[in-house]
Amino acid sequence: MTPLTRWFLGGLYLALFAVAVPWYWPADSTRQWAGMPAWVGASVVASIAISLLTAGLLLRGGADEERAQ
Amino acid sequence: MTNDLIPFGPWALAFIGVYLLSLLGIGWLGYRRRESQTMSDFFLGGRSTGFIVLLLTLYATQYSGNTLFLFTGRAFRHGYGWLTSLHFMTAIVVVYLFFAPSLFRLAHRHRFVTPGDYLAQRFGSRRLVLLATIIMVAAIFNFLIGQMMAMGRALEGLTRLDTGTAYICGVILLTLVILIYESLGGFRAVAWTDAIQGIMLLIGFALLLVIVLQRFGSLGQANRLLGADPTTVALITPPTGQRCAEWISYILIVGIGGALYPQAIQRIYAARHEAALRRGLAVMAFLPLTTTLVVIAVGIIARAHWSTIGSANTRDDAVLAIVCRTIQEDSLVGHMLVVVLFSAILAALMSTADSVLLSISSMVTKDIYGRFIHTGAEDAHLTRVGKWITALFLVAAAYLAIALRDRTDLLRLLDRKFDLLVQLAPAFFLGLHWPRLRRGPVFVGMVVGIAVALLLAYRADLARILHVETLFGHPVTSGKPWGFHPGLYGLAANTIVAVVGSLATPHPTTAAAASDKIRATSPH
Repeated sequence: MTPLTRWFLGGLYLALFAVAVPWYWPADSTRQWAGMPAWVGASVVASIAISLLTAGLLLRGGADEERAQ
Repeated sequence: MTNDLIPFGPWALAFIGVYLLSLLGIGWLGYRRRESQTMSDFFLGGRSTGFIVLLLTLYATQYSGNTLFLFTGRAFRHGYGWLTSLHFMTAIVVVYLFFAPSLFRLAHRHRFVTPGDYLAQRFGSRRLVLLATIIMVAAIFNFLIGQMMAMGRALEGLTRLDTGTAYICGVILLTLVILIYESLGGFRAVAWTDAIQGIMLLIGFALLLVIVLQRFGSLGQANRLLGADPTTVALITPPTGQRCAEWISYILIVGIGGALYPQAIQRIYAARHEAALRRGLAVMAFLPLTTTLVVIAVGIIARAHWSTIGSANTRDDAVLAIVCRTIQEDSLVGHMLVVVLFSAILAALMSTADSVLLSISSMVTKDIYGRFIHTGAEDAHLTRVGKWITALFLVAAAYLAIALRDRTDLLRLLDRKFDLLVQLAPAFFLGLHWPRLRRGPVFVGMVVGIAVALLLAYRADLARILHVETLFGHPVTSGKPWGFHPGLYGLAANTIVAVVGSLATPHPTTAAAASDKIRATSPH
């Protein structure tokens, strides 16, 4: 993995966690998505994206290692 | 916490008895499968843990009884504000991604058994190993006592005995069960019982969600009820200001500290091969969605329907028990489901306690007894000593759990495990990826980090003792300064000392050697 890729991934994680923490929602927001508060939906979607990214990197790293061996 | 349940009948108690007996059987199987009388075999199961068992033991170890009781209670109290728990449990796996594969390769190359082995190999400093071991043991011994107290409380409401007797019998009975299977089979028994406990936990969470949805209605309906009531609408609106800072603080401190649990580090060592570890962690990345999110939903639903099932001034950790009682009262099927769910709760408590105990005994045996008291002792001798130390710590924890039954305030006061564990982060994270990191600055940084964390954590008590009321014109208060845990301030100071100190005192020979060592273990 190149240093540039590492920096990109670090930035991506920061961005995803920034979406997960609802600092950018108005305090009195009562918007709903499918019966859920919209900010909760956004936070959970960000969490799913973090899980997918992490799982993908873990599995891809393993495949890279097997190729290197 | 569960003395709100309807006492279990003979069949339900027999079900739990069979479960406990099965744990003893697994301990015996682990004993039969031992390959040698070595530390590696006893404390790491001969480094032969495959994907499924590794996944389940990691899961059962990371998700304790707290996850069910405390998280439900927190969601009940703070509403979706407790959604931060979903992110900090996910953050633990993100942190693993950063260091677990590199640590695994080093561990297999150098035959590490304890986290201290890595520090000794990387930094060659006995005092650093000693300090880190004391930090880890202090951090998780308290956790062990907490789990044992929760076991006692879990059994309080199940029999018709008075609560005090039931608590003591519960602690002693479960201590004996853990002692027998852990002494017999070591890590193998712990990992296999964890696998069963992990499956029960997964079933328990699924059951919990199904029965709560069936009994109380959907989450959307709960949201509508909470939103319609001016006294509860804040539970579904987004957190702001300092609450957002607390979210970030929780994500950082639990993400880093949870990944540095010594029992979790030893599971990294115990993996059969790197692919098993990577696959296990990849699945772990999704488990907060099936676990933490479930208990948050249960807490929210319970809060929305609280006027019909509970009373005001309920303690947070009693919420789940009251929900369970309501389900028990509904039907025989509900009662049976609660029996299964309760077994899962017991499984969560026991799996965390046994893993913590084994980790403590391995660290005390290898990193304190083996390095400082009886240097050069043979593996077989250390393994025997390790079994005695296991028994000693378990009995001490059981005694304290009984003695402190009514002093949970004291235990809470001493509970600074994440504030302490995060101070190991520079040694592990930077140590694995930055060859220039030096042992002297790492040691000093750790001392500074602990001092800052503890001073900030206990500043109000300290000010009371010193009769100081204000500092820089501000009253001295307890709590998290600006919403961040004291341990994070300590970690910042710790990292600055470690990095600046290492840059200021270059040591080309050591740095080059460390660099070679890390390069040799890196796949890239």
